[in-house]
Amino acid sequence: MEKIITVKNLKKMYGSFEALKGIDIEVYKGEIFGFLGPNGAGKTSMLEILEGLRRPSDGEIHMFGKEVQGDVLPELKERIGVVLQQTSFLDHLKVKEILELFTSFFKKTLVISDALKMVDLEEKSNDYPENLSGGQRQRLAIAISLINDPDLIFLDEPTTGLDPQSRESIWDLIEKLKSNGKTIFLTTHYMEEAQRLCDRITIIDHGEVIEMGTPEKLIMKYGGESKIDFACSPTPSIEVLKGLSENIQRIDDHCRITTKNITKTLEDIVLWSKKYNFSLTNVFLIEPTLEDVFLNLTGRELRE
Amino acid sequence: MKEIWFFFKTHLLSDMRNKRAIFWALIFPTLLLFILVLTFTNMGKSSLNFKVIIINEASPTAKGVNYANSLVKAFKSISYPNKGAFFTLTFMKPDNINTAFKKVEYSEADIVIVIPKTFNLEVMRSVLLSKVGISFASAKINVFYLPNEASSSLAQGVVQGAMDEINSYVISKLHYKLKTFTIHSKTIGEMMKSPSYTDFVSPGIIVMGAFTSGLLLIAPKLASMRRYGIMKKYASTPAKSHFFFLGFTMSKIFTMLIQYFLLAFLAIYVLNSSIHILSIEAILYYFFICVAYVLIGFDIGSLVSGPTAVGALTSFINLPLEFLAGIYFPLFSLPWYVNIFVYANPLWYSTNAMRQLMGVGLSATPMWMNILVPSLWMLASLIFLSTRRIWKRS
Repeated sequence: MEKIITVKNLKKMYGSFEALKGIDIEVYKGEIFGFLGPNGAGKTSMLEILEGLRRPSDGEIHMFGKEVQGDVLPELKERIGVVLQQTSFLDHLKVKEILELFTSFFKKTLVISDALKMVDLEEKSNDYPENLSGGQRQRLAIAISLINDPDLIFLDEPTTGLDPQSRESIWDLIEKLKSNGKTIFLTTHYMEEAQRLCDRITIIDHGEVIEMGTPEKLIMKYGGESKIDFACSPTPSIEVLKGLSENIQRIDDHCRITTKNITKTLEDIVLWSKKYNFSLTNVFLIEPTLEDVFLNLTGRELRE
Repeated sequence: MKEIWFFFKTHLLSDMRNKRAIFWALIFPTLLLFILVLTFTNMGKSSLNFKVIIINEASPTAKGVNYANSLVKAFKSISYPNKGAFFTLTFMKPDNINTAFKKVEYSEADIVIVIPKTFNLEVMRSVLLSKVGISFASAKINVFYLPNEASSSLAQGVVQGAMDEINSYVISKLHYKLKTFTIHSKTIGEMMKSPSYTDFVSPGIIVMGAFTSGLLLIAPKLASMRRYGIMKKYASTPAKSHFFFLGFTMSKIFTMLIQYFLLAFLAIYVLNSSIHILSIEAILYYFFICVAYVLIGFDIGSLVSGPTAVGALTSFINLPLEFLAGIYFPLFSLPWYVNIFVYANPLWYSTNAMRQLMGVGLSATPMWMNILVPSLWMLASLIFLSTRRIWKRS
């Protein structure tokens, strides 16, 4: 597969503080590459170096097969789109006027109405961004990043602070961009977002890569066991429950079994309930997530 | 190049739709000009203190009785800072007679009194001949004034009166039989203009408006663009930083030019001022100071990013510089430690220059200083700006 970004031993120092301690990554054409980590892990530093907003202290960067030395070359900037963590726009300008300004920076650009159509904002072209909702503003930020029809798009925590509905619409949009052949470099601290969108993930903490791979493989390797929650009536005694599994615990009015074999355990629960004449209610399957992967890798929650 | 145009266009649009920017750039200076003119136009009109320039051509170190020096002393005794003073005296050398005339033409002085070279001799001759009863022409002093200017004519009359008093004193006390001194009044020519308070204050308000715009249109905008990542967003594109600075600066200077013409037209057509708004020198100088003030605005915007900090810093710089620029009233008799700030204040030089270039009067400071001091501020601002990371990568 064609490599779009190759980073070797990338370091970034802020005075004596080492924000990035030798990062190695590769990003392939057409994939959504997730760069995950808690706040302060170094995600934004890494992203801003790739976007040309910060200089690395050490290391090598290749983008579209060209070595980036010093400043990111204008011809590379022509091929990238950037959505920063902060979504702010120049005051008192209409949506289309902001996009017009950005079209002037690039040699090749989309028609403004097409860019707005991609993000479902074509009816808002004469509105002021301050009158748009949070989700619409974020979609406008994405439209700006798309104005040069980039091959590579950097998205820095694109759904932070958005309500679930807006988040869902941004996810749909990112998936649409991927289906249009764009390569996406995404940073997030939402594991759900990474799990849904990313083809491959790199997890960083304290400026170091702690693991990388596909979400499925990472979960399989580090996610731990699945959990099955259920409630039954009448409420069984602890002794009866222990007859079902040794890995069972009662949490308030329901029970939780931890297992590696979900199918077998589900069968056991059904047989057990029939044997004791319990009626099962509210059976839930809780599978391990990237959150668990991070917890197991670092010993702490992602948003601690 | 199209980037410059788009930066210019979008930032200008953004300002023109911003009520706060419109208020500070256009409405506030207009209101201020109105309020100042309406409040102070008639102030000081009843004063009987005349600005008199004395040029003593007679040798001040002449042997024997120096009548010229005695006459000067007599004038000093009825001049500022003495109580009930009629005159405020300025002494100039004979070589500067044309400058003195200009000052009268521009109403910076009311009359010019020239004591001729032969004055001592003429007085002596007059005194001696008078003693022996021979009548001879009395000694002359020349008074130059503008007949069509009220205060100049009045001053000429007052000097005439003072000379009559001196003659009476001489006749009664020394028993001379004839007038010792005669006034020869000469007109200087046409008065250049009659600078009203509107004339005086308008160039200053124009300068103040440019300075306020430089600070208030640029510093808060730049600070918020830095704070909210707009500068970062620009930097992530192939847009060139100098194109941004050019387009952004041009949009502000364009607003300042609108401000210039608005204030000038208001002064002329509403407040009856006679300033020269279309003077090419004045417009070029205004453009020059706009660039200097824009750079000062850039400095502040690059220094702080919080809106409160920007507001505090702009007020801290803006208010003292405006008050010590002689915009509203002429600056004189200030303590030395305040004068230090005045001499370093680019607004003072800009105001002085604009007054001269708009035909209101002679600049209180030489024109080369009026260009040098703002240039030094411009240079210092540029040097400071080059150390700030507005666009550069860190």
